[in-house]
Amino acid sequence: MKVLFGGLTQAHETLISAAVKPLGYEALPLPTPDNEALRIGKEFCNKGQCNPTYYTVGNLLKFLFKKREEGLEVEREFVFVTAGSCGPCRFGMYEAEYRRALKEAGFPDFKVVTFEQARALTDEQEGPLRFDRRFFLSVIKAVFLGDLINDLYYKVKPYELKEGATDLWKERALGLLAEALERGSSVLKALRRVKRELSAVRVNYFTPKPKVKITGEFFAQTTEGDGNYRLAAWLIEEGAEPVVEPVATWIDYLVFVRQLSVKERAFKDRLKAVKELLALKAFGLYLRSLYELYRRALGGKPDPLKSQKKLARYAEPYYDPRIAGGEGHMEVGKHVYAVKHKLAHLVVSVKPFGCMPSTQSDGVQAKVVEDLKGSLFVSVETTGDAEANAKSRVLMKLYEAKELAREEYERAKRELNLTDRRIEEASKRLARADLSLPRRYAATAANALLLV
Amino acid sequence: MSSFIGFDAVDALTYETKRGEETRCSFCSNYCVRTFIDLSVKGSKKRFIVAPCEKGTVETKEELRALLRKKSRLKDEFPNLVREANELLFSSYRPEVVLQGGLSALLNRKKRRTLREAVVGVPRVLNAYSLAPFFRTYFEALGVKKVVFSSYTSEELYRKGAKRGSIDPCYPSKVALAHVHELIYEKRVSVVFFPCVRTLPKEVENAEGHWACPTVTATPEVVKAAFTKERDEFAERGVKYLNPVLDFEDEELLSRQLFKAVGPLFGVTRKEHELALKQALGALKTYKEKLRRRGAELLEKLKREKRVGVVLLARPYHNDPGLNHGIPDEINDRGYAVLPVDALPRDEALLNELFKEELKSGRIKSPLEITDVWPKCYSENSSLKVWAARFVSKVPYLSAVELSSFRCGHDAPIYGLIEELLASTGRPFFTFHELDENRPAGSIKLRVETLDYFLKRYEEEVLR
Repeated sequence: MKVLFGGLTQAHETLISAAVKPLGYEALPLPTPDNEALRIGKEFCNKGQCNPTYYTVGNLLKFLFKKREEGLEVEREFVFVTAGSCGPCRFGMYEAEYRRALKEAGFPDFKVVTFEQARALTDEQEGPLRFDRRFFLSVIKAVFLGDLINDLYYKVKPYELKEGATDLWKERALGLLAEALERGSSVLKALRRVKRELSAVRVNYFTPKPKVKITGEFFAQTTEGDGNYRLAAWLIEEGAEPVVEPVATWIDYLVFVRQLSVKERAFKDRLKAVKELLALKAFGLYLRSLYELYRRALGGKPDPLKSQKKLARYAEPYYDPRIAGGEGHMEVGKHVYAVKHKLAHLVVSVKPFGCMPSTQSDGVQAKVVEDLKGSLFVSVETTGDAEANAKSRVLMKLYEAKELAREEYERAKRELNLTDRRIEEASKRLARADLSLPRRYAATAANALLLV
Repeated sequence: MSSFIGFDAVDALTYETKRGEETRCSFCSNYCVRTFIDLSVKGSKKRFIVAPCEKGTVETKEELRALLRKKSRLKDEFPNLVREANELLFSSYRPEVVLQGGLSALLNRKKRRTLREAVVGVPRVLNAYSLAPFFRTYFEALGVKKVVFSSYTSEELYRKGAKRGSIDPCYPSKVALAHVHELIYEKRVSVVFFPCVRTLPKEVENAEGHWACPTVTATPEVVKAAFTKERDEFAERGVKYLNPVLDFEDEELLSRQLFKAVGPLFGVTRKEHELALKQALGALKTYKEKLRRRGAELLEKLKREKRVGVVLLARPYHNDPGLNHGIPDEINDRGYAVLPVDALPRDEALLNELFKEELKSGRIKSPLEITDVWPKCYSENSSLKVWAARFVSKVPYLSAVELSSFRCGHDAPIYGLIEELLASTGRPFFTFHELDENRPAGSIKLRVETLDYFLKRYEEEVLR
């Protein structure tokens, strides 16, 4: 029986499939959800759902319809695995929606298996499929590697000299890593090879482009398809450098909020709380160290994981980190972080129509913008249609962000006393994509000047 | 027996229609023009009056008085418990003031003076419709000068105070800005108490959780941001804005969270806080018991008189007439008792009898459990809606009207389930979904007329 899953990016899904293979799972990622999936989702789900429900449920149905047409007995051939939760937002109710829609669509016996995402990190879960620690650690490894490949891809792609070179590198990189995960050979060795391969991609980092941080609701910020109007790819076409959020931040957040919850209730049984906190801290440390190890193997070029404590501290005056649901305080925290740490010129927060927590955290962003003088922030709601409207809102802000990036580049030139001629000469010497740039300015081009 | 007059009489029937100054109604300031249709058949005459409201269906003051008397009697017999719930929710439970003297009082005399002089404003929105007795009693027990609530939602209130909004969540959340505006600019409170209620008191049993809706929980943060965005309007008016995160599912944790927010600010000792908290929890219990007693009495009466009552499957804040757009009143005006979810009795013997089948088969361990039909029951108010729908499905003299606000993320996943539960037993079920700030009075009236028609037939065909 093949295990279907989805909802992340192509990089994550390729690597997860490879990582769980040695454990005996034949995992098959669903295609990236598109507007046809949205239409099918709307047809078979309850009305009034948020659109990640429609996209993800519709995507599964679309796949099953296709396989049924091909003559497969889908209820015997496949099982669908997805994360679940116990609230507070309706993400936890997706499971019921999957089952309902599958029944409506003529697949009453199709199996949907869920694992509780918050418990996934520490507890084993039994069910039709066994989710043990080995399984979750394999998936986490694959997710981290996918994050790092995506990070590099978006850092390099906007500056590539030969169109498509970065895409070819990404394909090769995923192949190398998938092979290592499948065979159980050294991932670090594979990462070093990935880095070497990247050095072959030629770039011009001296073109000032605005960095655009994509935040928002988890599905909307992560998907690479119609669910966010292919935002990251479109930003590159529009002359920007997108900064995507690693899924690792979400995993780290789950550990962090569990710690918060234990601390809040520690007065009931202090000894038990101390033990649990130590275990969570150790686990958190392991996760962060693993991410850092892989990052270093890639020459330290990808961004390090953000500190959850910092995100919470930045968000707290606006949005209490104890308010759960969706990305919780993180959308606000990431906005402040991006400005304070010069991570981006523009922050785009993407939320699907009907997302409850994300809409509310947007409600405080107007004050964040007011307090962080000079922050460029735009929030867009994705409905599946109204693409032109959403993109034109981003474009208006992108124009200002481009100005900021250009100004920053010119300022860096002055501060470093560099002439155009020197920069041009250096650009030939510094054209390797794997170059690790210092992080003094927000713009990649301005930071590249520090190497001249 | 049919009241058809026969084909011969129909052939002989004549009628005359009048519409003009002579048919104008003078029973209210609207002075509507009505249509009189005078039928005449074989010497007997009958007048039909087509009027926009019930008052217009009569001609003389005596007839009007009789009509109103009849309506009032009907309302007394079959009341709208949504109105009664609101009265119970927002009245004072007259707690004993717990502030004590001693060294602590002396050391904190300035803070305690602020407390004694405090006018605490609680926005009459969202979770206030389930927790107001708690909030009011707690502060009254601490000896504040006064606890006031904002008015019920109205178009005027919304227009005056909602201009600061920068997002578009559901109307029940959006309108909170206007309520806080009224509290600080018109009711001139010194403290706004608008907690981020994260979890609700446990009612549904063996549930995955008892979460409040995340939109509701975060609304106080959005309100705070809106009032402090360009300038700090709270500071300008000398208002303290208190929005602690509170968990009502865990009373020990709730006590700590509330004390942390209130204790140091007003120089309240832990003991005083605990005494106030105890009374506040007691008031909440009293409110529920009183309302449920009324619910139980009403159910008995409905059963005895073979009448059908209407259970309002809605979130507690739909008790707000500005959010429910007067739908419960419209239904009640037509002689039907209306019960909110909170008014459904929780008497053990009654529930055990109603749910005996499920209990016997082991599908549920408690009559307040819904895991067999809705395993993902972590949102308390959604769970209560599902439970209430199931309650209705077990009681032949009950029907259900579901209210839901536009963009309600927690209602959407249970629409289908509620329909299934009620349809399976043939209970009359009506929906008013996607309610927002617009009050479609005409369409509400039409739909209530339809509802009236169906309920009458249900009473005639099923209950009698």
